[in-house]
Amino acid sequence: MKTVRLIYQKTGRAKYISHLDLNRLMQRVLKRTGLPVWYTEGFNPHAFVTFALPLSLGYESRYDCMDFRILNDDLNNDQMLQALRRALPPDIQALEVIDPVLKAKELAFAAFMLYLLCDTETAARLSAFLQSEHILVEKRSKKKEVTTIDIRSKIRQLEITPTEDGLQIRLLLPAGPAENINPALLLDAAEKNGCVFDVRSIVREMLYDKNMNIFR
Amino acid sequence: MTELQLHKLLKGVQKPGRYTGGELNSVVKNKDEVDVRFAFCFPDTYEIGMSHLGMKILYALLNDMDGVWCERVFAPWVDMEQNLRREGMGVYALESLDDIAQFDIIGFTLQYELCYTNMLHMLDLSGIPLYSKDRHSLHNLVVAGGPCTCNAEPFADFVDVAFLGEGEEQMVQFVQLYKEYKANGADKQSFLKAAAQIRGVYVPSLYTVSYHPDGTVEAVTAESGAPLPIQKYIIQDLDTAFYPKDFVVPYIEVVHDRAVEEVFRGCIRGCRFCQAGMIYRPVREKSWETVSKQAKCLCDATGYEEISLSSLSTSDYSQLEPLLNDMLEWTQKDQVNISLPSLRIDTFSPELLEKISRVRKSGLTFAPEAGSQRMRDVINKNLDEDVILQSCETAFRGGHCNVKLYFMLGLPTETLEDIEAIGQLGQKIVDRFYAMPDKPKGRGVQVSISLATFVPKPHTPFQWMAQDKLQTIRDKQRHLVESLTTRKISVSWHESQTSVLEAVFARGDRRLSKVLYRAHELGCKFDSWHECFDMHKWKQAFADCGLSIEFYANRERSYEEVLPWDHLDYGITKGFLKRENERAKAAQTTKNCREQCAGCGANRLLRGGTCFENC
Repeated sequence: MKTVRLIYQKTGRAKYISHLDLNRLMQRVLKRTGLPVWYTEGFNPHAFVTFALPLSLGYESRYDCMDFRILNDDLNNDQMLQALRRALPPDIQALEVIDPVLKAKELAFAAFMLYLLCDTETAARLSAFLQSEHILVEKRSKKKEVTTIDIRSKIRQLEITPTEDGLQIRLLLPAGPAENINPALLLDAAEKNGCVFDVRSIVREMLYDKNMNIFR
Repeated sequence: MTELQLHKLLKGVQKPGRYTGGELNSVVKNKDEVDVRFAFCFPDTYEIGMSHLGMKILYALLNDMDGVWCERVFAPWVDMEQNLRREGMGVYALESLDDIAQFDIIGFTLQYELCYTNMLHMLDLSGIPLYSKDRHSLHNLVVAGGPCTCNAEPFADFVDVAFLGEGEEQMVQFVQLYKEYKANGADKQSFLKAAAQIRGVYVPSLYTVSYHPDGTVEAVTAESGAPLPIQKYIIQDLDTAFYPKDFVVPYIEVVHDRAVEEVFRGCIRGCRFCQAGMIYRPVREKSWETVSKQAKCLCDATGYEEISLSSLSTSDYSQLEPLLNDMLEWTQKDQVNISLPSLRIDTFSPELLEKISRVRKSGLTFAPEAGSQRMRDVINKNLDEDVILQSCETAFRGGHCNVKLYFMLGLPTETLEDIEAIGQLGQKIVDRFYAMPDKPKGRGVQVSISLATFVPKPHTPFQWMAQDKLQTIRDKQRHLVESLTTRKISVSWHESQTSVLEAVFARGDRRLSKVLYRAHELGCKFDSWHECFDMHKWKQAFADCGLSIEFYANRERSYEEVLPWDHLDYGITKGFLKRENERAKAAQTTKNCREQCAGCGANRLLRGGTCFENC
């Protein structure tokens, strides 16, 4: 038995699939592939799958990872990739099947693209706001405790590009088990600060470890 | 609709996955290359509609036709309705995201009476005139199917066509005819006259209903050579009938999230309250080889981890043993669980229990329907108390400590003793558990009693009977709860006010169309959802139309009265229903179809005219 990692994209209408629903979907995808997937042996047998990093509902992803276990060590990754491509719905595209290099806990950063719709005046205000020295936001932990953090200090990279109808923002944020920052926090803060805009889309572009190696 | 428009539309909506489509196995065609666009509407939420087998069958069937594209449409929940109104949009189909106003045929499947207002609500959101007489062109033809069309009268003024019976073959003929008439630029009226000649196609506007001064029906007359009575359509041979090779697999969790394989149609039992048991006659089985093959194909194409063997009473399937043996060959290997949703108590054996819990263990539900033996004989349940207790013990031995039991309140001839007998039966089941010498250690027993309010339905032996008044039902519910002495039995029931409305619309006449219209104007929608249901609005709608709820729900009809659905022929004869009603009053049972033919008349629909070899 070996663990393999599927790298996939989740785009288009698939962005409306929640993490919980994605989990169920992948169970069925694996079943449809006919691959010898390892099933848990409890009261409710199911394919054992783990995701590197859950994605918020409504976000697209250009690079996502799911691990599962395969009973037959001789199956090659390309065969599995072909089987998965046939079984996945159109808006989830399999990119690669690999032998995992990094462990999920080594995940450290995620790159996001935010596409916002607004007039040029708001675009200027937004750019200025995002580049201010501190941006304090309230963050809710899993235990429902509210803490205030300076989200500006968490942003590792920030590129702002004006577009025809708004702004395009590239962000590198902490991601993974140690610390996880959702770009929605930043947008909420901007909104509270009086910026009026529409979100066209939020795309998670890439996952990295602490040394900025692509998470594989 | 563009992706951006969809994104804006869904902002702040609960469960956006209800409205986005794009699921595996959904069918997308090029709309410029199809001749007929069919919007298949389920007038309730996505989660409920996507659980419905009939929709899956007809969706696949229509999309198999050349030049036809069938899409799915569900009722937008109230939050989505607000967003649609805000964006100035109508109800749209999930495949193309086009407004239903752009479709040739808009079809509704009507599974329960309380969804009628949702049909109007959906048409209205898309700006389609509600009354059939106000839609003049062949475009936006509104049709309806499903069990509720067995009395299509309450919604007869809204639909252009109601389909009676089973749709697989009739639908193909109908859509084919539509395609020809559309290509020739024909008008709606000439199409409807031609369509009325297809078996099972009921065009309400071709029939006139007259009434007596007391509000009962005087007569129904046909115009333009339309048939009278209108006979339902049935499939002769289920082995060769169309069945989907795949299902659309929803992303979000739906009510019945599993593959479904139909094993037979009709029911041999003849329970006298049960409409399905009457209107789907005669019994026709699929061979076990076909069932197993189709089930495997569905599981492979969907990846579902559960397959349900569906029918009105799956344990009555004559080939259950060879079927389960054959299916277990592949289900165990593929980690697929078999579920039998409608098990009769008396066919429940340790072997059966073992087979269905081979992969995963699911809950057990039985339906004795009535507490006392006399009451069960009245409804022809043909079930003895000993058998009920024995089956519960089998379940306990199989490791199930929770048993759920369904009962009905308000059955004809019911007395307070019959009500108390429900609690007593629950107590006997609890006692049976504790009397087991080898009962599971450290685990208690829980008997859940679920009460429904009896609704007399058309085309059943109880179609003439009065429904209990609301206060009587509430008194009976309280009486049962007060008669209980243990916390190991829990009792739950649905809101009975909705059962009153069901009784009205199940046996209503054409005059109720205006009540539906008025209720819709007053904002009634999603009436089967307690958070939306508003009885005050309904009472006002009846008052505004000068009609009475009691006339429809609480009035016993005479055998001589012309019933509003008498011109709709479902195979079973009125003579049979009368005989069965008389036997009910005398608490006499009738044998099941396999033991002895009761002469219901449905065999006339079969080529060859016999249901079972020995009859």
